[in-house]
Amino acid sequence: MTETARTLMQDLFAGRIDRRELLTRAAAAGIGVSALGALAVAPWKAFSASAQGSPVPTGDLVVAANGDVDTLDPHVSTKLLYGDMIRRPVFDCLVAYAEDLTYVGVLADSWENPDEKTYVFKLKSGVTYHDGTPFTAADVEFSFKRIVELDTVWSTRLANVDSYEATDDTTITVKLKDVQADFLDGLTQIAIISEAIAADIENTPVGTGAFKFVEWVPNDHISLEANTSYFVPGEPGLATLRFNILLEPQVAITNLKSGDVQGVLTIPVSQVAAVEGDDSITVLNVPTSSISIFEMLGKNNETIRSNARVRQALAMCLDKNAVQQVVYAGSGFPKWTFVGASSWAYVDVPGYDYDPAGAKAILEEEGAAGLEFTVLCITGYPESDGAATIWQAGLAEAGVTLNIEVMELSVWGENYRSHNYDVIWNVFPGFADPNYFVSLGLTPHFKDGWTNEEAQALATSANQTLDMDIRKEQYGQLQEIFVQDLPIMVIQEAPKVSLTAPDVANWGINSLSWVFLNDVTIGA
Amino acid sequence: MARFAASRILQAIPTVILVSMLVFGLMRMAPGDPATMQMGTEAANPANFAKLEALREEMGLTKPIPIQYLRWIEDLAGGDFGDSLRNKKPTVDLFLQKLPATLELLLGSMFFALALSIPLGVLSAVKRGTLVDRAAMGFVSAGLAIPGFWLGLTLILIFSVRLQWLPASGYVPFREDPAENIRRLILPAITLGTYLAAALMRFLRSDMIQVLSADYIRTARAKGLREKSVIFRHAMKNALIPVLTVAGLEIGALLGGAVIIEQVFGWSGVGWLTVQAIFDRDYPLVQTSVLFITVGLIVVNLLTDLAYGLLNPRMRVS
Amino acid sequence: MATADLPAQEQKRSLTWRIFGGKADPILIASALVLLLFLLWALLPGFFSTHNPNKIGPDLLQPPSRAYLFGTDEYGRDIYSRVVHGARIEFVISGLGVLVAMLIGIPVGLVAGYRGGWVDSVLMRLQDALLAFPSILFAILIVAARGASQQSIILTVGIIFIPRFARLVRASVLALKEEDFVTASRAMGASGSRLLWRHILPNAMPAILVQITLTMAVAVLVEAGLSYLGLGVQPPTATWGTMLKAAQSYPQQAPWYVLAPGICIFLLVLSLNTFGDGLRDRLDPRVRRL
Repeated sequence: MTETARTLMQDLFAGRIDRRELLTRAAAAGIGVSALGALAVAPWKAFSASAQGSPVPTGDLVVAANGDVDTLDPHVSTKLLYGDMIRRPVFDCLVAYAEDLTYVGVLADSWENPDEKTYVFKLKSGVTYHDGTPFTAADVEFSFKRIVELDTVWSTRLANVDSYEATDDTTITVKLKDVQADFLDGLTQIAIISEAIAADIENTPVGTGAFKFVEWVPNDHISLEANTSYFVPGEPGLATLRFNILLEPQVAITNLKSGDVQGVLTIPVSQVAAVEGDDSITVLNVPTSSISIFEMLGKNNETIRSNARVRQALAMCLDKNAVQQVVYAGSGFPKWTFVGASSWAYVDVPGYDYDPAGAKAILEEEGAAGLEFTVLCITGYPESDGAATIWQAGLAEAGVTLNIEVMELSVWGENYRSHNYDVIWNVFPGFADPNYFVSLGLTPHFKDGWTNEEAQALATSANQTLDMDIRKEQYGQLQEIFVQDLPIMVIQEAPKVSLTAPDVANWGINSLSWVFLNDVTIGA
Repeated sequence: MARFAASRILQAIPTVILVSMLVFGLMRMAPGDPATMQMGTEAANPANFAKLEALREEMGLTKPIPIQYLRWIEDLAGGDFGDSLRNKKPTVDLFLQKLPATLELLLGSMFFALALSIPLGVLSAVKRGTLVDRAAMGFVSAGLAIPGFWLGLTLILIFSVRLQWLPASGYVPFREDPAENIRRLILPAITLGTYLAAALMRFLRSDMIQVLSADYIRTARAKGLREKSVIFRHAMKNALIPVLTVAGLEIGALLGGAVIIEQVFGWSGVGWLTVQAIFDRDYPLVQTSVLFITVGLIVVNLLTDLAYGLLNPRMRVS
Repeated sequence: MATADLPAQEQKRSLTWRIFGGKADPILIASALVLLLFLLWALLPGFFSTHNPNKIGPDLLQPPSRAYLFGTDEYGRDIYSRVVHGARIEFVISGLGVLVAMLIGIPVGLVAGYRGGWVDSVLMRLQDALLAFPSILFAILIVAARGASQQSIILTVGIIFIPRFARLVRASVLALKEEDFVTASRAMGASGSRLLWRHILPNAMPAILVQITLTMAVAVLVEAGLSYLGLGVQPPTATWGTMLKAAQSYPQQAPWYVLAPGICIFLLVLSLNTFGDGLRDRLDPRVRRL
C-alpha cells in the first residue's frame, strides 16, 4: 500500500473528497483498484459514507423484509434476501463490488494476474471471526473445497477452477482451466468461513462481517448485533439490526408508519405513490439493472418458437409506456436488450414501437393470424400479471388472444426449468457481468429452442477473454442479434425501492438491487 | 363417560389416517417441487440439472408416492416426524415453535367473542325488538358478512396508522414482554373474533328467547322472582351451556380464519407456517402441521363434547 | 330436524307458498331485492355496465365521476363495470360450488342414512376427515394441486362443503326412516330409490334450500380469502375478491377503490345470509339457528 493511497483514503474518510474524486485521483496517481482495495475494503457504501461512526455503535434498527431466508448456510442459500440479511452483514467475501461495479478487495487485500488464468490473492491479516478465530488463507481453501463438495449452485461459480493453494497464511493462488472474464464476479458471493464453525453453520453462522448473528426464528425474524471489532472503519453503524418478516407490502408500510419498523427492504414500485408526501417516510428509489422479461421460446407453441417474425409482431403489441406507467409507476427504464443500461457493455438497440395494426399485418403474412397463446406469471409478483394484462390488451387489438395464468412460484419454477410454456414471464436480478444473464438466461435456450450459432459463439467467446474492448464488441453484437431474434423479450429495468424512517442514514442500494446495511445509522 | 370417550377416540383413528392420506396425496399431486424451489433462479441453468436431480434424490422425491407414504408412516411410528426440506430443522420443532402464537390468538379471539356475545346476546334476547336488539342484530349480520382480511386491514388503517393507538403487526412472545404481547394481540383477536362473536350472539339470542319462554322460567316468574334473578340465575345458566359448546366446536373455523388473519397481522403462527410450507412444497412440514392441527381439533371437539355431557346429563343417555 | 311435527296446515302448503306467501317480511324482501339486482348484473352484465370491464385506459385510479361511477382501477379500467361483470363469477363460483357439494353430498347422505351399517361408517369417516382440518387449508391444498383457476375454486368450494349437505340429508333420512308413512310404503313394497325420491328428499328439501343460500354466502367469503392469498381467478377477469385484494394496495391514493368490491361482497353475503335465515324461519320455524 502506497503513501499516496493512504493519504487519499484519509481524505475520503475525513469527508474532504468524495468517491468519484477518489477514483479519479487514484487513477492519476497510478493506483489500481485492487491496490485501493487494500484500504477501501468494504463495498462501495464504505466510501459514500461521510459519517465516521463512533467506536461503539449505538442505535437499533428494525427492518421489514418481504420474505424469509431458507437456510443460514451461506454456501447453500441462493436467495437475494439472504444476501441482504445475512451474507453481506454477517460474512465477508474475498472481493465485493464498488459503486461502479468494478471489484474491490474485502478479505483480499489485493490480487494480481501473473497470467490470464491465474489469480494470486493477498489476504488481509489481523481479521478475526466473531468467535475470535483468526482468518487465514486456509479458510479460503476450506470454503472453496466445501462449496465444491456440497455441490450446491455456488459450485457452478467455481466450476472453472483448476486448482487453488494457500502458499502462506495470507496468500492464495487460484488457477483456472480456461480464461474466465467473470471469475471475480462469482467471488463476490462466496462467503469465507472457517472450518471450525462449518459443522454448526446451519444454526450459528459465524463470519467475519460487520454484524454477529443472534437468532433466526423462521417466518418471524432474524436478529443481528454489532461486531465491534470489525475491520472496516465506521462499520457497523448500529448496535443491533433486526429483520421482521412481513410478506405484504401494505403490512410493511403500516408497520413503518406506526414505528414498529424503521426500514422496509423493498416494496413494489407501484406502491410508492401510497407513501409519497408522507414526511415520516423516506423513499429510496434507485435504478437497477434488474429486468423483467417474457421468454418466448417455450416448447409448447411451435408458431412462436420457430418464427422470429411472429415474435417481433408480438413484441409490437406490448405498450411499454403503459407498462412503465401502470406497473412501475412511471419509473424504471424500458429497453430491449438484457445488459444493464449503466453497464460498460450496454448498447442502445432500437426495438419495436407499439403498433398492433402493423403487428396484425405481419401475423397475417406469416399465416399466424388469430394466434392464441398463454403466458405464465407468478403469484405475488404484481408486475408479472400487470405486464401481461397490458400486453393482453395490445394483442387483442392485433387479433391475438393471450391467456394469463398466474401460478405459485414453485409451479412456475418447474415449468420454467422444463420449458413447459408458450411464453413465460421472468425477472432477473441485477447483474454486473453480462455473462451472468448469458449463462443463466440465454444458455438454456441454446440447448432447447434457439438455434443461432453466431449468438452461441459470441456468448462463449465474450467470457473467455480479459480484454475489455473485445468483450464490449462481442456483447454489442450479441445484443443486436438478441433484439433481432427475440428469444427473450425484455420489458424494462425495474427500480429498487426501499423505505426508511427519516432518521435512518447511509442506507445503501446498488444497481444490482442489493441492499447494504453495514454502515447504516439511526438517530441524529 | 369413559366408554363414550373411548369410542370417540376409536372413531378418530380412521379420520386421522384419512387426513394423512389426503394431505400426502394432495401435496404430491401439486405440481412444483421443493428442489426447484430451493435452487431458485439457478435451477434453470443446465449446468445445475444434475445437482437438481441429486437434491431431489436426497429429499426422497424420486420414489413412487405409495412407497413415500409408507416410509412416512413408518417414520411416524418410530416417532420421527421428519425434517423440513427447506431448512433441515425437525418439523415438530418448527411447529411447536409457532404454536404458542396461534394458541394465544385463538384464546384472544375466543375471549373477545365470548365477552362481546354473551352480554349482548342476552341483552338483545331480553330486550327483544328494541333498539338495542336491532343494533346487536345489525352487528351480527355485518360480522357474518365482512371478509376477515378486509376488516383486519381496515382496523390497522384506523387504529395503527391514523390514531396510532396500537401496533400494526408482529408477534412478541409473552415471556419477553407481556404488555407488548397483549397490545399486539388486540387487533388480530378482534378481527378474528368478530365472525365468531356474531355467530355466538345470534345463537345465544335465539337460545335465550327459547329458554325464556320455557315452562320453568314462567314458573319462576309466577313465583314472583325478580326479573334480574330469573334471567341471571335461571335462564342464562341454561342458555350458556350450548353456547359454550358451540364456541368449542367453532375452534376449527377460528383456526381456518387464523390462516389468513395471521398473514394480515404478521402474526407468525402455525396457520402462516402451514400456508408458507404449502407454497414452498415443504412436504414434511405440511404433513406434520396438518396432522397436529387435525389431532388438536379432534381433541378439542372431544373435550367439548365431554364437557357438554358433564354439564348436561341428559345428553349422555342419547 | 323435525319437519314432521309442523302444524298440519303448514305441511299441506306447497313449498312455493311457504317461501313467498303469507305476510311480507321487509328484511326478507330487501335481501331478495339485492340478490335480484346482483342476479340481473350476472345475467345481463352488458346491459348494466358502462364500459368494457377489461379495457385499459389512461386514467389510472381516478375517483368516482360521471364517466366512472365508482372510479377507475390501477389499469384505468372502470370499477363499476368490473363490479357488474364480477357478479356473474360470484354466482358461478358459489352456485356451481354449492351444486357440486350437493351433487356429492346429498347422495352420500342419502345412502349413508338409508343403508346404515358399515357403509354409513365409511362415508361418515370420510366426512369427518373433510371436517377435521380447517377448510381454508384444504382449499389451499386443492388449489395448489390443481392451479389457481375458476374451475379449481368451484371444485374446492364443492368439496369442502360436501359434509354440510351429507350430514344434513343423513340426519333427515334417519329422522324420517322410522316415520309411519315410510314404513307404510316400504311395507307396500316401494323400492329404496323410489322412497328416497318421493318421500325422503322432498321432506329434506326445505332444510337443503336453506343450506344452499347459507353455503353460497360462505363460498363468496372463501373466494375472497383465496384471492387474498393470491390463489384467486386468473386476470384480467374481475372477481370481487381479487378486486378487493388489489384495492388493498392503494389505501392512500384511491381510498374509494376498496368500497365497490368490498360493499358488494358484504351485501351479497349479507343478503344470502338474511335470505337463508328468512327461508328457515318460514320453512323450518322450529329449527334453532346456527
